[in-house]
Amino acid sequence: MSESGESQRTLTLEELDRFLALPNQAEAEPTELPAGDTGMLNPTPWLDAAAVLAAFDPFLLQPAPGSSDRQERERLLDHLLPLCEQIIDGPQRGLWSLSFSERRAALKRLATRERMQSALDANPARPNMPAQRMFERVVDGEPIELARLSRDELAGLSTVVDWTVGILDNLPEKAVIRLALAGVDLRAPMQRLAGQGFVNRQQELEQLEQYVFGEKPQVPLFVFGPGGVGKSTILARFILEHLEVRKVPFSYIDIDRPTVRPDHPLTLLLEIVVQLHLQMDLPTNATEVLINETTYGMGRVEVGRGLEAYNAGYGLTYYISLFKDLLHNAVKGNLTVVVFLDTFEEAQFLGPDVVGLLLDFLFHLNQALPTFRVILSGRALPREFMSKAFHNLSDMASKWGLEHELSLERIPLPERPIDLGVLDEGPARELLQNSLQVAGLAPLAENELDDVIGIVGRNPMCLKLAARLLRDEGVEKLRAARSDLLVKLKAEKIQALLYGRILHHVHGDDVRKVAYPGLIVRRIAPDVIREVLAKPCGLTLTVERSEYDIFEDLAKEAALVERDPLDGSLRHRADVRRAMLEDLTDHVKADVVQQIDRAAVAFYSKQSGAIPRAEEIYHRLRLRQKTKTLNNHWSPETAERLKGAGEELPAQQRLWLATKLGVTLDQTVRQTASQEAWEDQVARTANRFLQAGAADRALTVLHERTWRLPRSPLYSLEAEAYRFLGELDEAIRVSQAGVEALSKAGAIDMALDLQLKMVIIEETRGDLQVAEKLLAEAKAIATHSHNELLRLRVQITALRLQRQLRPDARDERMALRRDALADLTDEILHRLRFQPVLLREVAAELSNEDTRIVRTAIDTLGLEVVTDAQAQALARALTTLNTLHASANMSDPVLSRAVEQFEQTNFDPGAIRNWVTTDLTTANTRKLGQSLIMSVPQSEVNRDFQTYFRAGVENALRGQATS
Amino acid sequence: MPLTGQQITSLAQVFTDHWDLPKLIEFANDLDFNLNNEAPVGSVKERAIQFISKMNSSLPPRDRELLEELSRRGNQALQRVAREMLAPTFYSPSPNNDPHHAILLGKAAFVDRANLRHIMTEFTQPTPFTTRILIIRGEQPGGKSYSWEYLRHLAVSSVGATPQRLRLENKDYTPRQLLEQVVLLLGLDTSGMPQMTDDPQLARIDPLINWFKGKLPTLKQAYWLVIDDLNAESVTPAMRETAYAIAYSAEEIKSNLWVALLGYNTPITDPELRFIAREDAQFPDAKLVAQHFECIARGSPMPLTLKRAQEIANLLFSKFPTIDKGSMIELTLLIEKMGEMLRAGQQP
Repeated sequence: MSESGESQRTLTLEELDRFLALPNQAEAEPTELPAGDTGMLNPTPWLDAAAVLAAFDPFLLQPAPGSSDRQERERLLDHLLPLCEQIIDGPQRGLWSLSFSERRAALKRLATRERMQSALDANPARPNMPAQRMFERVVDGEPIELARLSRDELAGLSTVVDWTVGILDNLPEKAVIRLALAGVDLRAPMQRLAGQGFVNRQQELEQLEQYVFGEKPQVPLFVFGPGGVGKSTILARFILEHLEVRKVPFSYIDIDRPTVRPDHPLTLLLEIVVQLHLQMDLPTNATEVLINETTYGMGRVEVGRGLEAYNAGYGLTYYISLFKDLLHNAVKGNLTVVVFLDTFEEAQFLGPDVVGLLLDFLFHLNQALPTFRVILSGRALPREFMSKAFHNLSDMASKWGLEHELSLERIPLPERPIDLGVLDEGPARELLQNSLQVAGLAPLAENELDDVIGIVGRNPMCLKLAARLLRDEGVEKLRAARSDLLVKLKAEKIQALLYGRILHHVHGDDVRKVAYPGLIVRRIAPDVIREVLAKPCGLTLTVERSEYDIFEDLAKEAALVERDPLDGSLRHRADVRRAMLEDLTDHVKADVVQQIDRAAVAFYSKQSGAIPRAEEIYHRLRLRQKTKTLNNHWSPETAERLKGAGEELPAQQRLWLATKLGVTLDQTVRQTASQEAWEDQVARTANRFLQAGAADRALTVLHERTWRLPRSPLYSLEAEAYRFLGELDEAIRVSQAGVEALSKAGAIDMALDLQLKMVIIEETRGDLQVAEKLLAEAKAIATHSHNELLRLRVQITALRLQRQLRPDARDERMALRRDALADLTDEILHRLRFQPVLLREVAAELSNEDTRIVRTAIDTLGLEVVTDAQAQALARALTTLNTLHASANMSDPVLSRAVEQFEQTNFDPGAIRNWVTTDLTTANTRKLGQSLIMSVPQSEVNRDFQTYFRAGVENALRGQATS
Repeated sequence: MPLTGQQITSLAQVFTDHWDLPKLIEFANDLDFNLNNEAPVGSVKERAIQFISKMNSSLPPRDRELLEELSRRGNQALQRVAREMLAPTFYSPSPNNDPHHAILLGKAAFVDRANLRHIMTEFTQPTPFTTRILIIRGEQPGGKSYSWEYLRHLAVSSVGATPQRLRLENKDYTPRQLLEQVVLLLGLDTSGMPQMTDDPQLARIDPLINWFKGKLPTLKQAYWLVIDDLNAESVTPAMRETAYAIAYSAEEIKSNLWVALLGYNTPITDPELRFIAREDAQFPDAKLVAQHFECIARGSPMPLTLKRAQEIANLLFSKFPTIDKGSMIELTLLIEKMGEMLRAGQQP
């Protein structure tokens, strides 16, 4: 049969099967690789044997049934190996595994458990793999209790179900196995944490119980305490013993994880949704849609164009409401859901603005549903949390210190933040007694225990250190340390004091000196002892007592130092070391401290790599070296290792480091900063506030100082903040001042950006002539700019204004379009994805001319239906696309169904919005962009999408969101 | 790479046909492989199979090294086979034989995937702004592994990069073990790789990843690393996060490494990664398969009408009322067989 134009007879399935059973002519050609001789081999017993093994060695495989014939091996390999895959990594590396389809075919042939068991018996030496073990249990036929299986056994069982489904009966459902796996994965971190030296925290557990299962609390619950005190442990215990048994869904988020960004709270929402999806059996499509909406929402943010980006999105409350709807629609709205957020100090590290915005999100989330509970955990109780949750108490808190028990006690239970720094008396005694036992001491009497606890407090770490001190000095010495001052000190300070005392008992003078004042260096290694510490610390290194001996002796002091897994060096406990450094100059001469810092700089500056660079920078900071010097030695790879160093440094050095690490500092530190450092800090903070729509907070920070550097980034931010607040005259005034100053300073691009801001301000208040006049000035500035995207922005703004001012001047518009398109190279289009606001504007003016723009804009921005006009324009564009697809016989069922809905509801914006928020997954959105490329002809579709993007720009500029 | 079972047996057959045992031993010796110790008994072919298999499953893999050596030192037949295996054949219906549009990769059918073909042009013609990460999503089996074949083909035929695949199904790696496999696949030195402090290893992988980032600039040649099976149930969240962090490192450091994550279905929430290349793998429907048949036949002595192609595709799909993992695999084999027949000018 050929394509000769004559009509072909309809093919039947039988004919097709017969055809597919024919040999391929091409294979018979002599140019093909020669195949081995398999003529005499009956491969079935070998395939049956291989089918019941997760992995096998083809040279040892025995047939089932039968025995191997030495002569047959070569023919067997020829036949069998092409049906198998070699395992090339992991513990079974080098073994082989039958392909899925061949395995299924063989198992179908074996058909029963008895015959599979016989096949297993042919090869008694079987691989120790979870899939093999689970296959044998399935063949054995005994019921399998999923709850008793380990994670790898569950995964192995899932594989086995794929092999045997439809062949064997009484198999567990895949969905049930998947659910069990999700449960194991969720519990895994809890089980690890819960097992770590837990001391009875009954009172705290009861408070958590009351908080979660009692009346709806108004605020999240904060659990705080110093490092190592057991915050994560108590949360894990609570989850395993109080939530798991009642099947209460929960989400546990460690901010330290790579997929979570506290400066982007929506990443937390996504993590919560992903974790709850399987636990709550949320509908997959709806969950996907929520994820789609949220990820695209995050992608529409453009730094520097805060208002347009903000107007184009919906803000946090919108996404939380989508989440709420997801639960409601799945009839899960009445289930208690607990969200845990651990390692909150990671957010605090980024700055008070990040903490503030993150708390806004968490408080919203807590209030979203009566059944929601949010529990936070971190090292210190953030001031921002206290003032937001208990603003009437916050004054007192600041007076007494945030964690002071007196101020906390005024907060009613169960919302009162849980201070895990202090154990109850009973558990404190228990822990001290246990620690004494670990230290090899005889038990103390009750009154002696109370005596010690009276001195060091009930902080678990203090109690552990106290036990160590008792071993070295005895109770009397410890009593001598009692003072009112000690009682008032914070736990970490007490730990530092105890730590210091323990240091004095380190065996060996030289080891003691390396530990103190050697703790000036963060990293101790034999070469550091020799090159940095030996001279200032007065060490004498000999063949008999070398730096290696000292290092090894210090390494034995496990309570004081720990090994850094990266390079094997030793490090002091960071928080305690910090507290000890504060008092260092009381005990060690300043010139000794300086000698050590200088020696460290000299030592590390000769080495390459991230670790030496970070230590070099650290000691240069301690020496208060000039910014220029620091900048010369800075390398971004050091950032990770300097994260915790800021708190040990003076204010100016802290500011410099904060800038390098991209973190913000509070107002007190900012006040001491140079103008340059202050502007850098304020720019970062104001930007974050503007992205979250908190213009008033941005303005407060910007007004801390009125003077500006000649090339200040703050003009633009201040003007933007005024725009947000609707104070357009003020925005123009600041912009004018900015353009003047920046132009004088030669900061062309910054001046151009501000000039364009003024154009938009006039455009949004409808004064198009003034806007065009300002644009003419922008064009003049643009001639000096090398920034292609800024120049493109000028062209696009010109097109938009021209279209509104002179709609009939087509030739003029064509010329403007031509110029803009000429500059729109692939690279520029690619870079536009990082400027979503400008991309939308480009799509609104040029989509008709170039499908690439439509596709890039949809890929980047997703589908936006904030306003009714946007929703309707989108529906019309999709309808046109669907018609084109239908005429080209390329219909997409998802799109066709959507268009049907739009037409049935007469393009009702609500119905369109409903489709976007309930049916449109990320995959669908991407597919839409892809289908645009394939559509021919495209002009009509492009024009409709251009209209849709114009509605988007209109909304972004004027913020006419639908109610 | 790695070599398939079919390739290993075929190559062993060519060794047997063209070389005797002493020649094979000498060749293996020159590759530091002592055949007398590693495969002391058996026919020449059996020993050749053991030799190739062990080279194929070495860490780092040595199959490429074997083929390259063979393409230099073998006789004409051996050289031809080795070169073919190093740069697999493909069929592209585009006028200029553009490898991006290949629809047959060796014998494997690569149907549709217009979006993947489009985004891969960014990988093969990179600019400083090009992402280093490709993510192929898909819950059900639907062509993710065929993606590997396609990526391998493009890496070799378009950019001369070394493709490496790390399969994770049923591997039960800790994060450190997973990274170690990656490091070995990239031919890097594992000494100095930090030990992990958390046991079991769950999420605190910063030290590992920082160490890996430090190693990336030392990659001398371009690698396309494909981490596969990330949607498999045996893959733990810690393994998935490690794979994600490895890909993130490639994006951040922009060295000679490109990473594809196959079956990574977790949403990408990091705004810094919002513009990485993404593709949603789906099993093709009958219409796309029909287009595929029509395209293949177009390059054969017997072209096929789209109507007839659609008829064939519909019949093939009608054999499987429900599309599950097993039926997808069986259907794929039939599609491939049909493709081979059509290419050879045979039609039902």
